[in-house]
Amino acid sequence: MKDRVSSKILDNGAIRYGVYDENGNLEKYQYLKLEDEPVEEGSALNKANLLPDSVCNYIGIDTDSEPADALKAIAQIGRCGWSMLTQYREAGAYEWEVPDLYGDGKPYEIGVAVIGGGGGGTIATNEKGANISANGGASGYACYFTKAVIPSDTYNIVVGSGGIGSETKIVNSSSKISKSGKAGSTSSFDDATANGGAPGGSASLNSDNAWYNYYGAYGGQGADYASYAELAYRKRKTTPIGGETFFGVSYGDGTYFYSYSMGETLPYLCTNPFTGFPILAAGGSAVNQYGQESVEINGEYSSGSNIEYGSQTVSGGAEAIATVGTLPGCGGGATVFHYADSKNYHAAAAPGADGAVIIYVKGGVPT
Amino acid sequence: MKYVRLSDNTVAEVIPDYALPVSKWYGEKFAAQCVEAPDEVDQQWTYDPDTDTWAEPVEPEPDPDPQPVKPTLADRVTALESALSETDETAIALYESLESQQETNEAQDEALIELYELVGGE
Repeated sequence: MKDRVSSKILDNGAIRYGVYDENGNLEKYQYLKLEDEPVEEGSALNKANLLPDSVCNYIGIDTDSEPADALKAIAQIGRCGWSMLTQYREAGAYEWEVPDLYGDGKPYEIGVAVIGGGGGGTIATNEKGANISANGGASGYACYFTKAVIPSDTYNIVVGSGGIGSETKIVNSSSKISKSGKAGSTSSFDDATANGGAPGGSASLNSDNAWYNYYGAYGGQGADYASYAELAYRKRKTTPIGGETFFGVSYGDGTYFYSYSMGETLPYLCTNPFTGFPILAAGGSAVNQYGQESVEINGEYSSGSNIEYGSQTVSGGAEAIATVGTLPGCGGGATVFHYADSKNYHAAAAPGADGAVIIYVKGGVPT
Repeated sequence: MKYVRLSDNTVAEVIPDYALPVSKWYGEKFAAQCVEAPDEVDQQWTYDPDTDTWAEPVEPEPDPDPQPVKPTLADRVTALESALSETDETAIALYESLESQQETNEAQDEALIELYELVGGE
């Protein structure tokens, strides 16, 4: 929140107002100031009274946040009773020293969410019309627990990295390519660990010299596949998130019915118990038939006062590119590319996002 | 040399350099799954503890093409029910979202009215 800063104010505090006629034409300016001789001045409506930095820190929002952000954060604390103390969201190893939050040196309880790195997405390319498929990477696994900690004790933290995604740039060639991503790596807090998600599986070559792969990637939130097979094609238009499962789908004119497996999903891990919001997203996927398809995979969702994104794959023309998501531990999107007359194209799956270790305390965070 | 985590004697992950030594950064149980491996070893390689040797992953034999099957009446009813269920959930989510937005708007309106009154409005 920011205070309004006027440039038209008199030394006595009177502020400039405009006086307009009915047609909206400015007639004159007048300077106004309350002269009501109050018996009680009351509180001014400004940042210092409404949303000072100390309150922002207490409820865990940025100091330039708006009152609406504060209301959302307060609602979130009220929802589950926890607020975020600190978080580590970049791959690396850290030492966390327990702060003396309450100034009394006594133990207190923390909640910890440990999320493994996401699996990388897979690419698959083949000539137009051939069977082809690829999986997005699964999200990392997660573990949640509470623990009593003593101020000034230290804990080792590892944030697992996201697995790399596959990529290829082809110039005037007709190569059939299938490249799997890599698995995400394990995150840990002290002796608690959460493994990384599996990568999107590489496609296999079948007897018709076409790529296929009908099995999803395993993780906290599993990923299913994008494929193009004979009369039917499937593309993941939304990033699976928050314990979403997939059992089967009917295609095309409805005369065929396929039921393929999605990678393992563990729904009980896919809601963060300290916020009550869904967490863990797998990679989506897109099918690009050169010059015909344009698909966007949008994994946006709201997690309280923040908007986070799963991996997105956007394809069209000669490109099918997936971008890494912002959600911790989310899987990388896959891309499937059909080349036609022109054989110049760029297909890139996304890496999985780094995992995270997020530490919460009950109520607000004392300043 | 590098460190890898084994699961059923298959490399599940290569431990990142920043998390070495394993015994410092991870718990005992996790560290017990990790072993030293030659530089060329990567995910999905397999380890033979009897011979202390490593091997690249073997490409699986391709499965036969999956054949589309005509759905039974029950399959199609189930698919329709599933689609209808998702439609209901979407409608409920939209309704809740609109309701939430309406509450936010009302709260903002009230705040604006209070502000207006405070600055001298009637």
